[in-house]
Amino acid sequence: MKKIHFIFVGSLILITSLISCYKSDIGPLPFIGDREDLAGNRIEHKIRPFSFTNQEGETVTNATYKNKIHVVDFFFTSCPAICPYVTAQMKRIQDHITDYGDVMLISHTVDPKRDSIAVLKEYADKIGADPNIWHFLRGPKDKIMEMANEDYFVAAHEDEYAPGGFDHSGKILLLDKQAKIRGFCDGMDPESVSQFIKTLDYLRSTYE
Amino acid sequence: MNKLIVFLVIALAVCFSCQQEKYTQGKRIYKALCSNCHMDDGNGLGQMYPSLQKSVYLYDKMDELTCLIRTGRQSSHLSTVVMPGFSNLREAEISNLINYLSHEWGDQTILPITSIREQIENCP
Repeated sequence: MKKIHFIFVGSLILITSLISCYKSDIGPLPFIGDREDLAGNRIEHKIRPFSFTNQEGETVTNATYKNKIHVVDFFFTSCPAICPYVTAQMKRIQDHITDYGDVMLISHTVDPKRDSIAVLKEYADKIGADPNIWHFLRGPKDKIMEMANEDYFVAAHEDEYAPGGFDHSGKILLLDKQAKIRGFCDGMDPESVSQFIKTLDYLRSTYE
Repeated sequence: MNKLIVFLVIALAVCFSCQQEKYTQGKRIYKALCSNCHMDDGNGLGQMYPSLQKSVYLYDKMDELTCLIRTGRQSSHLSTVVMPGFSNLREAEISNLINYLSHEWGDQTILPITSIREQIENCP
C-alpha cells in the first residue's frame, strides 16, 4: 500500500514539475506598448473603445469582447498576397480553441469599400469560420487604419502599388481579457503560430 | 570488386542528385506564386481557396491548366476573390510548375514544353 502511495505522490510531483517547466518556458508575458512618461510613471497601453459591424450584421463593441482573450489580424477578401495564408493560420487557431469559450478571433478588413457585410459573411462561411467564435469586422476605413497603426502597431495603409491596393502586416496579435497586447506572431510562419498557440494557452492558464 | 563499388556509389549519387533536382523550379514557383492561397500542402482553405489534391485540373482537365495559370479565374463563390493570371511565366516555367503539381497531387503525368506551347496557342 505504501509503495502505491509513493508512486502516486511521485507521479504528482513529476506532473507538477512538468507543468511548471512548461509555464516557465513561455511566461511571464510582456505588456506590449506600455511606456513611461518623463516623470517615470508607467502608461498602460490597451486597445481603445470601438464600434464595428460583424459578418452577421451585428454591432459589436469592445464590450462584446469583455472578459475574453482576443486573437486579432488584419486582412481583406480580395488580397492576392499574404491574407489567405494568414487566414488559414487563424482557422488553425480557431480549431484549437473551439471548446474554450473564453477566446474570440477578430479579423478586421482594411478594405470596407469592397468588403461589404454580405461579402464578409460569404467569405467567413466558405472558409469555415464559426460566427460564435470568429468575427470579421467592418468599420470606417480611417478608424480601422488608425487602430491598426496606433493601437495594434500593425503597419497598414492604402498603397496603389501593393498587391490588391493595400499594404499591411501579416501579424496575428494576442490580447488579454483587458484588451492589452500580450504577444504576436508572424502569420506567414506556421512555426511562429505554433508557439503563439502555446502562448495563448499559457495566457489562458493565468486566469485559472 | 573495388571498381564495382565505386561505380555503384557514383551511380547512386547521380540518381539521388537527379531526384533532388527534378521539381526544384516548379516547387519554387509554386511557393512564390501559388501557396499563399492553395497552401503548402495544396489543400487550399475551405470552399474559398480550392484544394489541388486530386483536383480535376490535374486529371481530366489537365489540358486547360496552362491557360488557367496564364489568365487566372474569378472565384465561383465571391466577386472579390480572384485567382490572378501569371502571363509573364515562360513556357518552361509553366511546364515545370505543372509537372510539380502533377507529381505532388496528380497522377504523375508529365507535360512536355511542346504541349504547353500548343495549349498557349489555343487559349481562349
